[in-house]
Order: sequence, then structure tokens, then C-alpha cells
Amino acid sequence: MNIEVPNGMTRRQFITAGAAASAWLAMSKTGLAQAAAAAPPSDQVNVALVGCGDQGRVLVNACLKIPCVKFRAVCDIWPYAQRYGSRYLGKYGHETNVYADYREMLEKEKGLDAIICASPDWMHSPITCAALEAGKHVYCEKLMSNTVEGAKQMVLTQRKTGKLLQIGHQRRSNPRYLHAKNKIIDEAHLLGRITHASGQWHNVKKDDRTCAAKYELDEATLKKFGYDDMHQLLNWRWFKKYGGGPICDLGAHQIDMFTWFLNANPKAVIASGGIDYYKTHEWYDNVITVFEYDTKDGVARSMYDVLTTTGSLGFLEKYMGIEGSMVISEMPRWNQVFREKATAPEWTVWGEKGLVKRVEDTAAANAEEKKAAEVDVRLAASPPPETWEIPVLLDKPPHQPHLENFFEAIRKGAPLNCPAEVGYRSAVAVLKVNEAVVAQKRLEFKPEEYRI
Amino acid sequence: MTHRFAHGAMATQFVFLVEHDDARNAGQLCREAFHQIDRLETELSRFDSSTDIASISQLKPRDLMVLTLDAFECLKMAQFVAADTNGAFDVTIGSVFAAWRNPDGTPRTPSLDELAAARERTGWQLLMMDEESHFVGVRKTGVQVDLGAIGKGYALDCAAAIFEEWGITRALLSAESTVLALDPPEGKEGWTVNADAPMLLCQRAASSSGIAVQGQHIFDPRTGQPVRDRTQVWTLAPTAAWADALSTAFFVMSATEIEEYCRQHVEVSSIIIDSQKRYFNLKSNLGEKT
Repeated sequence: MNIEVPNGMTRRQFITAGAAASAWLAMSKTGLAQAAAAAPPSDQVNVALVGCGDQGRVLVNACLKIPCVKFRAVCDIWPYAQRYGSRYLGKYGHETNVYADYREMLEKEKGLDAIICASPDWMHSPITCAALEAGKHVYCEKLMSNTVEGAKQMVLTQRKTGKLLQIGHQRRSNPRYLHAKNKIIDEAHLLGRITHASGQWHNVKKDDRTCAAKYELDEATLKKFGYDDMHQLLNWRWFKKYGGGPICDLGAHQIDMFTWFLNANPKAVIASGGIDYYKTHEWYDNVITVFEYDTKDGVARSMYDVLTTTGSLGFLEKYMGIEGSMVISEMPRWNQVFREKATAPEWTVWGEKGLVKRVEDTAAANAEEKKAAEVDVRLAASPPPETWEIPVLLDKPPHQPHLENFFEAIRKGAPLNCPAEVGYRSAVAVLKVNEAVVAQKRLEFKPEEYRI
Repeated sequence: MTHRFAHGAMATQFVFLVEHDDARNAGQLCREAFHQIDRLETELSRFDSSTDIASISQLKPRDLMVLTLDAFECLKMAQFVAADTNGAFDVTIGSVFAAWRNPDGTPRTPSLDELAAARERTGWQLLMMDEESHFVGVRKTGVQVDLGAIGKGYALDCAAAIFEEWGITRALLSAESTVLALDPPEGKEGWTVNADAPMLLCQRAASSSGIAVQGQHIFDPRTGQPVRDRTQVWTLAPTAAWADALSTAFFVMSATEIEEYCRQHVEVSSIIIDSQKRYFNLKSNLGEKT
């Protein structure tokens, strides 16, 4: 027998229950309206978002936490994304004009100070250059461009116009990464000479993106903006015309970190990759690569893989030196510094100074006890490393510090953490990986490739 | 034809049943909905220190923090239910949860002092929100928010909005203990859910809370103690977030309190299953077996 389900308002009549909750909140004594209204005003930076897809929305959420940012316009070739962006911003009190064409926006929006560019990669260069020429500062997502030529144009235009250009390698502003680089590696040399780095980005298998039929762009509009069809627009990262594939989408972040932490540009690369799983893509769905570096301490090598058919362990980087090693990631859970007991001096003093924090590892302690009892030769030959942590946690959205750095640069002249030249060198290194996959041999970088 | 699509997220299995002629189109829709659920999982998580929800625990009185729209909407709904149930539902219960667990997640019994300290930082009135600015603030430092008892329901409501957008609405969306019925299959009055005590649902959500599913996991925010009496409560409400939250609230409320709540909210009803597997449908008549 069925249980009787009483009548009453249905879901459609009560569409989100949000209305009732809003009414309650407006009446509630637990409101914050007064405090919110009293929040100090700050000198505003007038901003336009170009590209309101998934990444644009991530950047919007981070920007909404930065008081000086005022959105004035949203630009996207797809009306559905335009509408999403302007409605979302409207709820936060940002009234925005919407545009399909960035050139029209730059012409009409006279009061803009800065552009945030989160378009597909192939449009980074034309959009950024046009915005710089129009006198705007630009925060442009990484990878800077899907071609070296495109990236070069961006550097030259930035130099010519003198406007600010920050490239979105956001780890360069992440307090944990800054601590690891500036304090643990550079100041205390806790890893000793770094001989190797490794890293990975593993994404679980994902299906291609689609949209409701009624929101699909017509063929003429797609053609006008350079896309063959809706599938390519929604899945542009997989197509050679629009992007550089997973090594550029994901690998770029970590290959950029290798360059930063090792303080050297790669001098050679070998790589293997292919379209081994997906049937509807042009770009390699997995790439495994090895870079060589000449660091000030000697040769170093890095191994890196980007896989898009397994989420195993997510994304992280590891730096290995004579005296210690360090695991770090934008994901908070990857955070370890190991002291090599056989080769490194005590770290107690660095613990006291707050550079690293000791982790009480019960498994290691048990192993020590066991060793004492059993005199295990192998354990004795290689004592278990001490585990420490990087004592800095990111308690903001990952892109917020990098955007804050950009806006501080605009308002107060702070130096950019990833200016055009730095982004350019990263692009050169990363784009060569795809070349190396095709060449099936070791490719060298000439020093002048990194210079403009 | 009814198609079934499943996706693991939010530590649960989302299963969508969709009646639609074009299986490919239905699958595309479900994948887009799952994509958004994955985003919500990140956005509403308390485990990643960079999320809004985790960051609330770092706020001090007078601090103001802007929330993402989904974090704000979900928290607003939680606060609404908290106020409406006199704190029987309370997402600020994170400190109490933590007190009853070891760092590795195994259960422990806190000392009276530990529990008192956790309860100091628990209470929905410790959170303040402003809709205009999407600010959240706290009255005390260290309020730990856990959206575990409402997040899955909220995600189902968001999925339903995507189904409406695509114009495919004959569907049943579920996340383990919470189901949201949209329009019924052709020629039917509703989707049949809950095999033990079947009910027909149409444009309505149902959620069950109980110790049968996950072991003892519900705490009374009003006392900080685990709840031991009932075995299961089913709650029916117009939206999944509301049903999800209420099913937890009803689990700790007395039958009289639940009956009063259902009387005040014409759109809400509840079914209690006691330890003898007897069913009490609180809307038809309290205490009457159905």
C-alpha cells in the first residue's frame, strides 16, 4: 500500500525555497546589513571580464572578495555565458554591460581600468594586445598563448604600452608556494642541491561538454567568431586551433613551478603522448615528459605527466635534493618536507623559526622501534626520513592572491608576481612539449628562445 | 523510455532516472548536471582550507567575508531551517562533530569540558548574513560550518534547475537518502520511491534520516549528544534542500514538535518509523498506523 503523500505546495510553486529564506533573512536580527553598509569604500578599479566560461566564473568569485574591484562589463561570444555572468554579478551589485565582441567593448567602455581575460587560449593574444593598446591593464589566464608568436606579441605590446600584464600562473602568489620558495629553498637551503623535480596532474575521465539545444549558437555566429561548431566551442581545450591540450591547460602550472623553484629555464625536453583514449579530440589525452635544466648548482631533471583518464592522487609537485625533499600542491593535503637524516643537519632551529613544522609520524616512530628491536639491515642502511610540513595554509580561493597582486600593482605600484616575460618563458617551455611528442626525440632550447 | 545515469560525488552516489525519447540527449543533460554537482562539491566543502565554508572557521567577530552565490544560498537555506526549527537543525555543529571523532575519523566520547568548549562555538545564531552584499560574519571565533546535512539536497535542487533549463522534466533525481521527483513518467501520477513504504512523488522531495543507513551519525545540536531513539524519519517538502535539512531536524525533534512544524507548514509532512518498524504518518494523523 502506498503511503499517502499530502498535498501542499509543489516544487515548481516553491521553486527554490530561497524566497522564503530570503524573506526570513531580511527580517532576521542576525542580519549584517549595517556592518556591510559601513564597510569602508576603497579606490575602485573598473574591470571587464572577457570570457565567462568555467574559468571566468572562478576568477569572478575570487574578484568578488577583493573590495576595490568593480565589474563594468562582461564579454563572451555566447549569449548564454554573457547572461550567466551579468546576472551573477548583478546579484553582488555590479551592474554590467554585455558584449559579444571584445573590440566593440573596448571601443564603447571608456571608463575601464583593466580587463580579465579568460577566453579560449587562441584569443588570449589578440584580446590582450587590443586591451593593452586601448590603455587597459590586463590579467590574462595561462597559458599565455597557444603559440610562441602570440605570446611574443603580448610581451612586445606590453612593453610598448607600458600597461600592466599579469599572466595567470596563480601559484606564484600562493602564500604556501612563496614560503616554500623564498624561505625553505632560498633562505634555509633545506633541500640542499635540488637534483630532481617531479609532478603530475591526473584528472578523472570526463565526458565532452554540451548544452541545451535552445542555447546553441547558430552556424553563422560560430563561423564569425572562428568556431566550426558548438562542440568545438564548448570543448575548445581539445582542439589544436584553440588550445594546446592538457599539457598547456594543466601542465603549464607545474612546469612553471619547476622553472621558478629550480631558478632555471629548461635546456632540453623529451616527451611521449597520444590520443589513446578519447575518440572526439585532436589533442593528446596523456603526455609524459622529462626536462633538463642547468641550475646554478649543476644539472637537474624533472619528470612530469598529465593524464586525463585517471584521477589518481590528483595534482602535486615534488622537489628532491641531497638534504631533503618537499611535496607541495595547490591542494592543501599535499604538504610534506622530508629531512634526509643521513646527509642533512638538524632542522630543529628551522622549526623554532617557523620555517617548517614537525609532524609527529607514528608510523615512522614504530618503524624506529622495530629497527631497534630487530636490527633490520635495510632499515639501518636507509633511516626513515623525518617528516615536516610547510606551516603556511592558503585560506582563500586559489586565484585570489594572484588577482590581489594584480590590483595592488595597479593601485599602489606593487611588482607583479608573473609579468609578461615570466609568462612568456613558461609558454616557450610548455609549448615545446607538444613539439617533442611529434619529433619523438630530445629537443634543445636555445638560450635566445627565452629572450625577446 | 527511462534511462539511468549515476555519478559519485559529495561522498555519495547521485542516481538520475530520466524518461526521454533521446537517450543521448538525456545523458548529455545528466553529465552537465553532474559537472555542476562536482563544482558544488568543491564550493561547499569544509575539507579544503581555501573554500568559503572552511574559511568561516577562521573568521573573527567584525570580520566580513563575501560568499560565492551557491555557498550563500545553501547557507541561507540552512539558517532558515535552523531558525524555523529552533535550532534542531544547525550547520554550525562542526565543532561538536569534531569532538565526537578522533582525528582519523573513528568515534570517541569527548570529556564534559571538551563538549562544553565545542558547544560554545555551536549555534546558528553565531552566524550573520546579508543578502545584498553576500557577506557572512560571526559572533564568535571558530564557528565550524558543516553543510553535510543539506548540501546534497541543495545539489539536487540545482540539478533540477538544469533539467528545467533543458526542458527535460520527467525525472527522478536522487542522492542516497534524498530524492527529488520532477514530473512523473508519462501516464503516471508520480515516481514511486522507498520500497519499504512506497510513496508516489511528483514535484516534491523526500529525505530520510536514520541510524539504519550510516550507523549512528546524528547529533542533537541542542544538547551536543548523539540521538538514540528513533530508527528512521522520512520528510517530504517542496525542495530537496529543505527536505534534506528537515529530515535531520525531525530526527532530533519530538513527535509533538514535528507535528507542530508540519501543521505550520502546509507543504511539509513527515513519516516516522519506530524501532518496531511501525509507520506514523504525521500529516494524516499522529500515531495512526498506515
